[in-house]
Amino acid sequence: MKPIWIDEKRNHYITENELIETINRYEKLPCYIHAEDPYEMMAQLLAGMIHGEEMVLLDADFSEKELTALGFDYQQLASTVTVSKEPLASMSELVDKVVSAPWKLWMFTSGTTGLPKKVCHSYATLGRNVRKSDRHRDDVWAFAYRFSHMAGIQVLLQALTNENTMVYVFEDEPRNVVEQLGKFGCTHISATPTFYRNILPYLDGTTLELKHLTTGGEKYDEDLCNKLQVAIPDVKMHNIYASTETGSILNAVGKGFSIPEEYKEKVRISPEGELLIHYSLLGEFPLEGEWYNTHDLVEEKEGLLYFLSRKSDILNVGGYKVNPLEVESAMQKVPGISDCLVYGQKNSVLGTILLADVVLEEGFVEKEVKKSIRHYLQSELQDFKIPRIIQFVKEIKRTKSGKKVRK
Amino acid sequence: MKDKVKVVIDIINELREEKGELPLNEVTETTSLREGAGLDSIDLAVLTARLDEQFGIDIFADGIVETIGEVMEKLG
Repeated sequence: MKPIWIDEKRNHYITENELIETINRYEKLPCYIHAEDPYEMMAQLLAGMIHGEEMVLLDADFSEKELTALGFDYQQLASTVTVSKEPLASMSELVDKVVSAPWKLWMFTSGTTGLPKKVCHSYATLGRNVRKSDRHRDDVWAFAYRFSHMAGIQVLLQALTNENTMVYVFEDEPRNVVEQLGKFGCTHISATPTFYRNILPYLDGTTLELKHLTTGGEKYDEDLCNKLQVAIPDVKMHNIYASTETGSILNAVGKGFSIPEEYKEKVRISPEGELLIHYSLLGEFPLEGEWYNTHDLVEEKEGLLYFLSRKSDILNVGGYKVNPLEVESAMQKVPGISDCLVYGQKNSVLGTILLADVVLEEGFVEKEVKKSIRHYLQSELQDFKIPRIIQFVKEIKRTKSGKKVRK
Repeated sequence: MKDKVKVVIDIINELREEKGELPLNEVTETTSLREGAGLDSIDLAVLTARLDEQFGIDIFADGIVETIGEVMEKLG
């Protein structure tokens, strides 16, 4: 029997039947899905989907403070919903129900302004680019995204609807990732440039069955893609433009994104050069007017869209969105810090690395405060939000109106 | 060269200390940054940024650095 989910790190080799059994066993489902084990997260999510439930997807490592900032009461997380006992009989029934049931999935994003935003998706928005056909029957997917994020759900839907094996490699060491790509004969992978940058040194000399490689979640890295093409000569590469608000929306081979015929009237460029998307292509969230401003600066050349930069304070650290204001407000509570500024610096490993300039209060020692920052932030923020290079400065420059001068 | 080795090892040990790990006992040219020195992607990003600041060389610019010896090669 074909495995549907492989997670070597957790010793999971789950067959289709075992997945069905897991789903059938649920009598109650959490309304807030935040399981630490991605398999459990997937099973709960699929169970909710087939019953047409409304669910909220959360990162398992959100701290209590982060959840409060998103507007949650920590107690709320334990709430469950009872589901009817109509056992699934087969994988194809599971797929049919996932595609047709009226489920709703809420996800969070730091948005472009830094205010947490709740976006509601359904199969119509998340499954819009799913391709189901006999051609995809033998695909094997390397699962290289966080399960609780939009890109992860898209990989799940593409793989599940074609009943493909998924190999969870997201949390593994780069050397093991490459080993598993070979061992399980992965044919498809979708990941961030940072993920590929990390595994690239280990691709040398390996023979992989990879046919399709998709990048997304961070700015396109042409040099990296050229190196990947050399390392895996026959692989076809695509670049995807997606966000929590929009789902996956545009596709490119190389830098220029083509706009599908059916979206031509639904994608526009503002007078300021920012990409606007019509609400009919979006997940549900409060929106003024019909057009959502992505704040991504683009230009159009010969019918293709090229992304220039992002008009936003949000930093992208290895594919994770970080709001520097959130980090600063947590740092401000560390004893010994009188003022601080969090910003990004270009980095060849992560794309962007987080730095913090810190003004010490009198009587505090740099080394000790540095330690407390790490120690304190670990209980407050997800790991990728913690600045790892701390520089002590005399002052943080401010504009006339009192705003910090952002670097 | 000796000084550069010391700078690299000091940064690695600082990164280990921040994670509550002991300094490396023995470092050779073949010690790997990930498995041997126990650095994760964020640690490698910090190492790269700090070496770049000190020596003006981006050791990960072409993406292939696996061992301490290879770091030293990049630093020249």
